[in-house]
Amino acid sequence: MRPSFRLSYFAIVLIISAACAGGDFYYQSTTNIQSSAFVPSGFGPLAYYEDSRFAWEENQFIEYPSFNQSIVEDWEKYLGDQNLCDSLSNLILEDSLQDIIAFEKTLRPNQLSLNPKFKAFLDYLKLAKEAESYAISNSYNWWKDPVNIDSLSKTISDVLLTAWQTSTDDFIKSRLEFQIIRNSYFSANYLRGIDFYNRYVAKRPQEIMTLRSKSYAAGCYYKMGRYGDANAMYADIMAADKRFTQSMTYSFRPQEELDFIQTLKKCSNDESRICAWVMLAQYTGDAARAMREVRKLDANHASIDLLMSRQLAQYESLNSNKYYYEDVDPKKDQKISYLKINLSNDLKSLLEDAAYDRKYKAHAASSYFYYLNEDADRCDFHLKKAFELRPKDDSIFSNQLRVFRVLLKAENPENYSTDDIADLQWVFESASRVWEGEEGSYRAYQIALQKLYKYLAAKNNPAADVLLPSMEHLKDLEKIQSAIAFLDGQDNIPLHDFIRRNASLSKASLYKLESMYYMKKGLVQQAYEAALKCENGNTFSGDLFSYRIKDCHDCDFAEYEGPLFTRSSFLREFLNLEGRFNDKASFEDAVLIGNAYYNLSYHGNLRLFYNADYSLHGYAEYSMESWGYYDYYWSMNYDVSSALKYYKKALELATTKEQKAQAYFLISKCELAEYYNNREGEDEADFISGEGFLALKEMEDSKFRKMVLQECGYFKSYFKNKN
Amino acid sequence: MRFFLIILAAVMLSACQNDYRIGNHISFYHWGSKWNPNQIEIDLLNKLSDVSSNRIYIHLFDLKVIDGAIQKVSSLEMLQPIPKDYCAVPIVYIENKVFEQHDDSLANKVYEVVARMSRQQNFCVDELQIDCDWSEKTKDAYFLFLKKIKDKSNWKITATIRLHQIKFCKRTGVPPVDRGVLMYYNMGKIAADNRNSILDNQIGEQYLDQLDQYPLTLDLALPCFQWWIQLRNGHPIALISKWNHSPKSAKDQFEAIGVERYRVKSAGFYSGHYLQEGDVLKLEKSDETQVIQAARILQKRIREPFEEVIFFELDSTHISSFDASFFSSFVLRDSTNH
Repeated sequence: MRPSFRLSYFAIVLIISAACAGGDFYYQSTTNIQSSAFVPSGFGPLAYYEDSRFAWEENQFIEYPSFNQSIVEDWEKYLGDQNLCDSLSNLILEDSLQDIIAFEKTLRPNQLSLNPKFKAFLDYLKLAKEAESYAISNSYNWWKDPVNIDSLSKTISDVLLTAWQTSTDDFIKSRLEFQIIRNSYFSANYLRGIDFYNRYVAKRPQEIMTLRSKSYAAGCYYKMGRYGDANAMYADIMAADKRFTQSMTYSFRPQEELDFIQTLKKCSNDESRICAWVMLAQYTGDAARAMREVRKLDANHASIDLLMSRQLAQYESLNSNKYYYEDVDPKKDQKISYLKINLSNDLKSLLEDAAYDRKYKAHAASSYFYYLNEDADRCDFHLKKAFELRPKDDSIFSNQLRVFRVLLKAENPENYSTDDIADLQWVFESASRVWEGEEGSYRAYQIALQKLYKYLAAKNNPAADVLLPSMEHLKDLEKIQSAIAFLDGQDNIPLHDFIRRNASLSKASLYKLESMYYMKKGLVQQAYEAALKCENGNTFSGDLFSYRIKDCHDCDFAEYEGPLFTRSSFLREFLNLEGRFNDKASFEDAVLIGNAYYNLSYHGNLRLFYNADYSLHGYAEYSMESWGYYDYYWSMNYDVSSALKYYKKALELATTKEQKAQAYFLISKCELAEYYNNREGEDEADFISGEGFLALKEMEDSKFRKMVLQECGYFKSYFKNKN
Repeated sequence: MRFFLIILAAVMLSACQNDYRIGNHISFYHWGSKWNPNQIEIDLLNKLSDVSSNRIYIHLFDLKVIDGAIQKVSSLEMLQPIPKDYCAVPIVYIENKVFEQHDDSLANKVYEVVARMSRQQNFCVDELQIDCDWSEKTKDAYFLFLKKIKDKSNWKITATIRLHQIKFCKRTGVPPVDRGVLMYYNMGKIAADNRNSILDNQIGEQYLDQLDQYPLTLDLALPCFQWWIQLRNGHPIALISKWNHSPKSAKDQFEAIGVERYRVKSAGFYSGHYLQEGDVLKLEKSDETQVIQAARILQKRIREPFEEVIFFELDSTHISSFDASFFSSFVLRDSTNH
């Protein structure tokens, strides 16, 4: 009946541990490509997240661009000084129909007559809110009876139409048109929506309101299965205003190749056709095909850079996830060749194309492509060209090149210059800059660290262990001490200084590891001396020298009111006890020392003693090597043999029946803990009878035995089963 | 002596022919979002009426966690009535993650929707099947949900049981329902290799040691379906089911590169699916021999025949490659109308 702590403990181990030791790394950042370095701002939303390839591939939902702000601004502009509301935004975006009616009642009658625009606004808003009741998805109230759209829409559509016919205000009229077409879409009156759009809206200037109406008309076409018409309209809308990029891309859904061919034919112009290809790439992931087709339409179109970077990201992704893909398909290299050949040809073709005038981007992409192919010479060549040709004022692009340079230089850390180390420091700090919205968090840093680690480790340089601490520190005193010496060193080597600045392990952490190491070996004096060097005043909760009949750490922490111990003060007290015991052995001191050892194990209230305090750089979860270390942890923290040794001494020193009963019970606790330590996780209770329980069972007239029977369910059940 | 041998051979042949009759009745699953059976499907139901349980298990909707909230998706649209003499049993598929959401009123909500939809569509209103691949983490919440829906509805509640839930039933628990349905399919990894993820009897057999001790009366679900796995750069990226496209006959667009494997020669949309140049399509299906073999394996592991053998699924793209007699051959009393 071992509780689930073993698993949770493993989780803790993974979190606190550093398990690189030359193994393979788990990368938190997934990409080195900063979308905004390649993607023109108009297409930005398609690659909004730095680490996304295409949104659908990553199963990420990008927020739809919101027109809410522009809607409110338009109304503010329209109303001008006739605005009678403190928060137009709330009224439009948040309030319900009832709220608006209630608000209207707060106005004096002459206020509305003196401000006819505000009256027109309120009348429109009430209609819009009513119409919205069925237009808005009810997916969060899925169990409720759905609104009967048929009956509702019939009423509202008549009212909307009448309002539109009678309105003489163009601003209001255009919004009523939108409502009418949207109403047609949601009430499945698709023909009416299309007819209304074609008659009254289609020829209007391509402003936001018109385009929004057009998107619902396109939706009507889509619902009727006229996918070519629908998708061509979506492409036209995106071409007219890039703010619609995301919403149109998520609506764009050709069903057959013929639909897409029709779409291209029906698009208003080449810009619209290019948008159709970009949407196709977004929808299907086929950036290669889209790029080639876009280049035929406009060899210098901005979207080429987007499509190029997406292909590169796909290639990066395939290379980066090699462990996964090798698992799925051991012939991974063969499989990626198709993508590799296509991308290689496309990049070469772009570089040779005189009509394409952003060669620096193609050079940058080529540089990373060759880096991924482990071709350092070509990577270097294209990187230099990209630096040379880049616009000097494009800081985002320059930073992107800097990331690629870090990767290239990481191949050979021996040649790191001061500038290279500055690059490394800059990439290292990018994770914090990402929160400021400046740039992405790059995988480059982790790759560079890994390579640097391997380089240093091969030279037995202790800097390696400080750079990426491993669990080796927990069992190798020499490593701990050489890491401390490295941190203390002042050799003025720039690379070493970089490592000291960015070390994952502080000296205090290393001394803490040293104290753990010594304590594990039973060398309490040395553990104490090491603990003094990492003392930070933090205390452990609970009474570290006591025991409970039924282990309850939370109770220990909540109930204990005595003095709290720090790491060093605990060890000092431990040493005092040991000294006293060695001078004159007593039952009481044997129990206290046994308790301390028991509490130091996972079963006790001082398990945190063995928690290291550095973060994981280590193995991916699937690495078998990490499980080897897990076993080491298991033996270290679950071990109760020292506690058992002292409880047995207590038994020898016991002079009364009650003391003996107490010692037997404490021995049984250790026996039980050892039994569970060696047992695979199973749910059912499995009662064992070690030496302690058997002896305690026989001590029928002991008060302590009676107390144990009352408190300890395990012992009670054991009794019940065995009697 | 010769006569004796002939008789013996006949007896052995007969035994061999019948050793996979494992159910008293058969029925079908329908898992599309529209109930609109075509003539092939209606004909099959008619031909099998004598061996049928007169039930069709129809998927009503899914519950999934989307944007952090439980949502109902893939709701059934009824474009035709349920055939006369047939009773439709609603099925609700619930994604495992739903039970990590701690919604105490989930059973009430599902009951409300199923009761309303069943009334509207003339379903059997006294039975509900829940399909959920629960885990140890969600077991308690899922089982509580099943109890609550039973208490609320007093319907017969059945639940799908996956193979691993048979083998590791001590760990996964046994759902508190009236009956279970053993899903003997979808047993392998969807991968680029040559294995069949729909039905692999070598894998299936490994999970059946405890079948006769499973503490819940079980019906059986067997596969009669196929799908295409779309592979890109050697990695499965999509499953294409009920696909009305034949790569075999479209040689301009597809190149045969192995048994039931085709490479896409020209990118484009094919019957609703976009295929990229270089993508590979791998066909997986449950053929008659494999399904019969599955029944033979199961036959050896059960003490009594299954009351119902439910085939997945009633869709002409799947069933057209099977004869009605194939389905009826699993039933202990064989009397089809054909």
